[in-house]
Formats: sequence, structure tokens, C-alpha cells
Amino acid sequence: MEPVRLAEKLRGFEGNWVALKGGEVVAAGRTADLVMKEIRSKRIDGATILRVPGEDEPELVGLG
Amino acid sequence: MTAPRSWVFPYVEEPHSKPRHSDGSPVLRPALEVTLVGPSGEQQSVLALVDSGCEHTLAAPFLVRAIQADPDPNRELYLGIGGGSRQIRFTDVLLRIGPSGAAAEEFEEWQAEVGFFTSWEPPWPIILGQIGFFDHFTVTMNRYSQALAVEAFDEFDKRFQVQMRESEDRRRRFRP
Repeated sequence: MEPVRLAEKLRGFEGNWVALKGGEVVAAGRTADLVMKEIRSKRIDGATILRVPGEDEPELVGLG
Repeated sequence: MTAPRSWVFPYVEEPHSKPRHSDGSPVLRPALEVTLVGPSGEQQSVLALVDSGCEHTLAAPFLVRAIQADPDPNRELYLGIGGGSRQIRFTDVLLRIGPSGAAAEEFEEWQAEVGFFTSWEPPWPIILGQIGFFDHFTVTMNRYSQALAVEAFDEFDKRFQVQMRESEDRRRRFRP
């Protein structure tokens, strides 16, 4: 078992929210609502939403 | 539904292109995919940070809309987070997890008290904290193995042969 590698796949999405399915980005946007709207309009089931920190964002400690 | 025996989830690399450590290695987080299910069955999966230091299970405001949840204004709290005081409203939500890479029908779900931020957007869509997650499972996080394990809630007692006594002024030990 290895850690789930995300950084390489998410390069270029810094500061955005993304939806991942099967390890691939299926939607992206400035807000989670936009991403949610996109995956629902495309009828993509089972996508996982997460946020990609901005390039200059300090490292998160707890909730930051 | 199956009760978790020893579901192991690999740590998740911080979704950030810039190495955080001086040797170039990435930040690894104890995180797993969780699905929130609303009262009308609307559901949304998100990547959740497992945070043993957080008392509550807390979620981003967009998830209220995603699952059509109805946070209770009478169950309100202010927490100091991210440099400010944030308003949180709680409601009970069905949470669901499944073992990493397993079939969709293998899962565990439970009713949890989830606090939704009313306006502030937290860095993670949901934080799984002591109430709502750690009180439902035995959770083991191991940096050496770069993974976390989720087991039945009473596994800790069995493993260590201890049972902490309840006190009247404290929250009762979780019983399913």
C-alpha cells in the first residue's frame, strides 16, 4: 500500500476546488458549489470533491 | 452494510505542487473518502481530514446545499478557527465510509452530529473529529506505515484490556 499521490495530478489547479473520479479530475472551479453544479449537470456519480491549496498558501495546521 | 474489521486507508498526499519539507518530500495527511447523505437521500462524497485534535465533526457550507441538510439554529456554536470566530450550526447527518478500493456495497454508515460553517469555507470539505467519528470507531494513525486503520468502536477495549469509567457529568461512552 502506498500513499495516495495527488500533487502531480492536481498541478495547475492550485487555489481551486476539484472533483476526482477514478483518480482523474472530472471537474474544477473556483468554488465547491461550481464543481458540485458541474458534476451534477454532467451526471457524474461517485466523484470526490476536495480543495487544492493555493501556491502561496501556508501549510495547514489542523483546521488552519 | 458490514462492520469494519480493520479497514486500512493510505495517507493522502497534500494536493499541493510545492514540497513542504526541506528534503523535498510531500506532506501526507490522514484522510479518507466519506459520503454525506442528507435527509432526502441527496449525497455527496468528499475527501475528509481525520483530525484527532478536533472535538467536533465540521463541514463546509456547500455541503448543506449538496445534501439539502437543515442545520439547527438552536444548536449553534462559535469556534476560533483560521484566525477568526466562525459560526457553526449542527444537525445529524448520515455518514458513510467504505474500505479503500473495495466494492461499493461494502460500507459502514452511521448517524453523526455534524457542524456546518455558516459562511466560512474551511480548507477541507469535512473534518472528522472526536464527536461524530472517533466516538464511533477505533482509529489508529501510523506515520511509519503512512496509513490509518478504522476498526469497530470496542476494539480499543479488547486490545488494551481497559475500559474507562463513565462519569455523570460527561458524555456517555458511545453505544450503537
